[in-house]
Amino acid sequence: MRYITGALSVLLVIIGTATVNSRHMVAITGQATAYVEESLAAEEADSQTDAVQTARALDHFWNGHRGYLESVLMHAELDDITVTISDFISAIETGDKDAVHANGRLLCVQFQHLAELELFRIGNIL
Amino acid sequence: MVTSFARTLILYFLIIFSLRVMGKRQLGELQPSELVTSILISDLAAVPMQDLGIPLIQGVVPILTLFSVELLISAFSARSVRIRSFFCGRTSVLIKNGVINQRELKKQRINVTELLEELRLKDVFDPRQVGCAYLETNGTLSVQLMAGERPVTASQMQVDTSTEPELYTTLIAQGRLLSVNLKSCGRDRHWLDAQLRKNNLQSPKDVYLMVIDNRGGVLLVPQEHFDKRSGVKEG
Repeated sequence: MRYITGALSVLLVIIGTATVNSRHMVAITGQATAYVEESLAAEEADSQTDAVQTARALDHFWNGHRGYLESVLMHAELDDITVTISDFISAIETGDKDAVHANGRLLCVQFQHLAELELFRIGNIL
Repeated sequence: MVTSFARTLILYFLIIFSLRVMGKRQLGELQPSELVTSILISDLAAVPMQDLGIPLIQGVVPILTLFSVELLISAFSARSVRIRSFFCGRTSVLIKNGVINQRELKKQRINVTELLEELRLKDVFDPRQVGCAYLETNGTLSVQLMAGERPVTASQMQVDTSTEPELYTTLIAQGRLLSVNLKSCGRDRHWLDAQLRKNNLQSPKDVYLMVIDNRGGVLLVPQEHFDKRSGVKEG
């Protein structure tokens, strides 16, 4: 009985941690996407200062969660996002609207991909 | 994380199923679930070790999952015959009363040459001498000879074996004193030192192997010292 209880406890802890991780991932990527959209909206409204400020807030937010994300996700995927955020900020600063939109859209897709990666879905499992 | 958890479970049951379908002869000496766990765990542990871009948790979660499932299966197998036969299979009788069970042999996909080879490894050269040959769930063959073919035992001959030693305990192995064994056979350090002195030895470090039987008989092999460079025995 001790072995059964122990093994079931480990499985429950794993399932519980996985569920919390999945929710946390959705929250992080949701917040990051909101920063991108806000920055894009500021750029559309020709408010470059606000756009840069929001993009830098995104960078700060992303780096703040980097440690946690690196402990659960492949590092290569996170590195790609870090590079895109950097390109996004540079594009806003230089006023290259096409690059801003391209990098903004790419970031949204990358964040969505991260969130979906940890969801308990048949598609992911298969 | 949840994906690797689910994937681990799926792969685990898939490999168990495959091994069960493949049959016992593929297994060697491990039970199917043990074999699967050994294969998967060694591989799972290797991947995050080699690739630093993969978080450690991606290796830890599957290993903990396998470990827990294996514990659950072994615990439930001990309680239920059905669960045990599902995961470990059943023992098959390949020879009964000297007659080869061809149907079972075909079912287990073992040809008669392999069966004869296994019998020869057990010093049986004629299947007619076999009372029962079992293919165990771990893939090994157990053979029981016909009553008339079994070696005569001391009890059948009514020979007194009470003076024969039966239990052997290792006291020193490669210079290392096994104090627990010394205590369990009712001896102490004084007795050991006396034995060593009797053999002109100073300490347990000078002993390669020391074994005592339940009648008090002692086997003592002194440590041989070799020249590290030439490999030639000294002294």
